[in-house]
Amino acid sequence: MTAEEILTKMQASFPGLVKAEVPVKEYPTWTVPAESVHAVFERLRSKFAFDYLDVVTAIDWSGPVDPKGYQQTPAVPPAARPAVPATAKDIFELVYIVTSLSTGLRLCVRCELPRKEGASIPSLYNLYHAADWQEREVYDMFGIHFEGHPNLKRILTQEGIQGWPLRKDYAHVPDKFD
Amino acid sequence: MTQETPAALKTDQMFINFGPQHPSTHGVLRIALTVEGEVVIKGDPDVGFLHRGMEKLFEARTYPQALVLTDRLDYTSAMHNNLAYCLAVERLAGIQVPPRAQYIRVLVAELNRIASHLVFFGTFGVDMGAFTPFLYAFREREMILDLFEMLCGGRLLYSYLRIGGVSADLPAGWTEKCREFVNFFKPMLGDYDTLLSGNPIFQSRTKGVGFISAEKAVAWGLSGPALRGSGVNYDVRKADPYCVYDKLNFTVPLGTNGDCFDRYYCRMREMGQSAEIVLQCLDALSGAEPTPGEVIAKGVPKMFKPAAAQAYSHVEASRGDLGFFAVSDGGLNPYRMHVRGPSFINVAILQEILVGCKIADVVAILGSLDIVLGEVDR
Repeated sequence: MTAEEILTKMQASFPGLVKAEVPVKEYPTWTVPAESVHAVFERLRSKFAFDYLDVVTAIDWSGPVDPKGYQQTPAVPPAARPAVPATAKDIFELVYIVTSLSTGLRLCVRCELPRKEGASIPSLYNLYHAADWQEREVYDMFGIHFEGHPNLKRILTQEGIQGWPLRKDYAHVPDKFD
Repeated sequence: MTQETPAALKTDQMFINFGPQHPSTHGVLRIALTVEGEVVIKGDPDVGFLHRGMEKLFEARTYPQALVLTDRLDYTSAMHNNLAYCLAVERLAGIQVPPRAQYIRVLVAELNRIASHLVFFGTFGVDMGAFTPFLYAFREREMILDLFEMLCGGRLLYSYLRIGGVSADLPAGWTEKCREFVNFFKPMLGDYDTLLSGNPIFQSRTKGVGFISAEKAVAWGLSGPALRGSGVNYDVRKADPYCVYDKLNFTVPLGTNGDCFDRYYCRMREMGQSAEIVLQCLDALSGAEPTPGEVIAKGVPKMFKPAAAQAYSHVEASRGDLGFFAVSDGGLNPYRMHVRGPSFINVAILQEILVGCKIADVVAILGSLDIVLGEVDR
């Protein structure tokens, strides 16, 4: 069964599920509304044997890439920095990549969230344990909450850090390490 | 385990910090262990001591500049990191790599896999109380590092693979030296079995310890020898071939039980397969087909702006499925670069499999997962 056929079958139950306008290159890419993420993956796992969760990550689309808060390399002259890109939107985008070990199919599923404090999305922990630390990392870096995650706390950054480092508007607050 | 302890012998629970300053954690990993006597009842891995904010650093560099950051992820197999990054950026920007460079890439990646597995072999032996294998492993590894030094001057952090190809063709005399090494190395695998694999003390420390079932391994997203030790046949080189792996002849060693010994032995057999791949690449490179000298795509500028797009590319690194997710907004720098580090995902399973094991086995289980903290913490 190809990814196209799976999409057609899935669309019957999930009308919000559509092909992404900008796909991840060489991957079938879908977008789903945040509320049906968990149900979509449950179906993918049980009916279509997508048993291996490769990647959970997020993108902050609020560009422009303002170098405030981190060092801009001298090799990039200020004029060469991109202006506000056409892609700038006030959203977070969650990116999931799943694989089926039995059929060899790969799939990218994306999901948009409004970019605000306390943005949240259902956790996939009970479907894929691989989501455990990857969701914690996304929480640590973007401040996106995962409902139903058993142990959602910061994972990589040091104790007492303020803010969410991978957000585009992150500004470093000097701490004892500076 | 705790129920079986007779009430009269019941000991108090004790909390132990395993690491971050412990030689067996191979870096700065801390495991918060709660033990009852000798038995672990809770093990909570704590990471982040080596966090350098790599993904943020990518956003402040141009694509070619950011290459050197990737060396510092899994520093024992830097070639694979370079390869995964280059493949992702090439896919993003639509760059075609010349065939000779593809063979060289596979060649150095497989040599690096041998070097990386030798570090595992040596240190795992030391963890289990066998010091001699370490000396043998590092003697052979030194020869590979010499080969890499001839190629690019670097012994640990290479940046030899560049976007569009590799930085230089193989120098004169390199092919012969490499062949000499492989012919020396192949019989050594038998010696390693005599030294360590067949040792009854080593076997009793690793067989039946740290059992991971195939279902559990897949659910936790393990990859590399940690997954294949449980008998799951998933190797990115076969499942999603990149470079020239689809033209090469090799097998993927699998374990059966999913214990520490199987994960160890998967790696040992993988080294033999890597040696075979190296020989096949050398044969292909000595033919006239991949034009000598043509090792980098023409017309890749020093600074370039890929059109707004997203790309994901992954390779089978020494420790598993290493992927780079690259997002371009049409600017000079990556808009977002995510690293799927296999060590980061492999180490998460510790919280489940440490429960119920003996405290002495924690080192064996951790060692058999073979993590590198540079990649866990990024």
